Amino acid sequence: MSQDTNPALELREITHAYGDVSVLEGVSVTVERGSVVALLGPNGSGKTTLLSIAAGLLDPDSGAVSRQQPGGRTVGYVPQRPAFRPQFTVAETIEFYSTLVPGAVDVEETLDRVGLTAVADRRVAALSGGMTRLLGLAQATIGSPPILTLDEPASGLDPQLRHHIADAIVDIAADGTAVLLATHDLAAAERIADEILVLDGGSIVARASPAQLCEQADADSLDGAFDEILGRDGLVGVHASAGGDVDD
Amino acid sequence: MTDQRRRILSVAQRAFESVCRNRTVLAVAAGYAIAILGFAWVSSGGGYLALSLNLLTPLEVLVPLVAFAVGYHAILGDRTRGELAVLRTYPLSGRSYVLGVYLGRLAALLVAVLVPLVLASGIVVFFREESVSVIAAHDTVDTPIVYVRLFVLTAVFASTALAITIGVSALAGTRASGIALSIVSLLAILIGLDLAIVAGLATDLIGGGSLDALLAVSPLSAFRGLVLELVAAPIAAAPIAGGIHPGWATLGLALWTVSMLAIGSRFVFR
Repeated sequence: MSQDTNPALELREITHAYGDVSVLEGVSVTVERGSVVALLGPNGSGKTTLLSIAAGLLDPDSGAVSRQQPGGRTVGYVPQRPAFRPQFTVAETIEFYSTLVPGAVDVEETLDRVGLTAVADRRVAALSGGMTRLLGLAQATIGSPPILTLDEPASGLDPQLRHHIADAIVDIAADGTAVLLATHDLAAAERIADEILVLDGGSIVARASPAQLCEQADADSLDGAFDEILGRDGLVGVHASAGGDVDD
Repeated sequence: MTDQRRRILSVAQRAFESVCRNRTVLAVAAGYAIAILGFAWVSSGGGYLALSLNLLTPLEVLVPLVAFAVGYHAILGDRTRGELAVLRTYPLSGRSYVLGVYLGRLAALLVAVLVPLVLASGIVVFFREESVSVIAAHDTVDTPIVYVRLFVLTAVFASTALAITIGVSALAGTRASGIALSIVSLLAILIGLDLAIVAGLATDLIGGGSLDALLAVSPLSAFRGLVLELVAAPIAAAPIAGGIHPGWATLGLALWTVSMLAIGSRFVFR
């Protein structure tokens, strides 16, 4: 039997606007199975919009989206601030989502994968922000979707939890899942991403592996390369032309 | 069982458990139960027909309120938390989701609304004074069947009230708009449509011949009409005004239920 060599996710020439405000202008992204692609960019650059289109939550104004169709769940999605019914426990939450996909799901294994086994019987209301993020990640893997999209999976978390989440993402990708994530955490992106896409003003202004980006920008780290690509003002500036607070 | 049916049941189960774990809803249900038992106690001594007629107005007002408490946050909560976006990544259609939410919340609503009615019937069983039956034509026809009819019609009315609330919950984008839309729809159900019909009659915009059909447009009038027509009229000692053709009333309630669930299904994953 021949192996499917098509990418798990392909976005071609995606354009999107909110009213008169153009957010994405001809953006193309390809994510292969087992690889991690990180979207970087200042606030308002279109990262969340692009992720929403990749996850099938938003239709682009123009362009094409093709996803690997396994027959069950196609895309796993972790929103910027995942939230669940507070009166249910962690295990009950995962059990509920597990009933929505074909086939059996091992709830214990799903929680173990992200390190939440110890709090399986804890109510969601009693979880910390980091644990809720991990629960969101666990939810996104239910049904083994071939594509995983994550919006700022580690923002606002302590360094230990950020590492934990990054490690969990690497493990998920190692199982063949195509991962597309938007992040401001440059250190994590440098560590786990196979490819970095830098979005600015609704367009991709740089696209390479972390090492290549550093080399091209003649920088010691991705942080430095990012500064170089966007200019130091770009790091803190909100690009009004790309949607302002629509994104992030 | 098909996959889609299994998913509907999962959503329904979660919706039912959500209501059971919500203290505010439990408090509203307890308040409703106390009110119904209180009104029933006032009519103690009479038969089933007297009890049914005494409970009619409280049910008209309180059932939509309990339905509002049970349903207004059902879908809106998932939307404001961001869970609707997550649910869209599962093989679950908007129709299955709305139907599951409706069925689960309906099960909880029916328990909350009907159990106090069952308890209220105990007042007739234990405190009935046979000689005081002045409403029914004959004591012998004032049987529990009369009350069972009220029970069934209340369940139908509750189902419609909840469908309207769920539809509104699916349409609302924010907590504030959810509350505002729910209050407007509640007011429309409770008084707005009836007032519009009265105004139409007073200004001769509506002819008396079309009154049956128009009353059926208002869920409240349809419920009241059905109760008067099917519970009271068959055994009342004197003619009772306000009844409408059961066919029109049933059609009106069915159309409200189906159309609001259809609207919810269409716009939930917008």
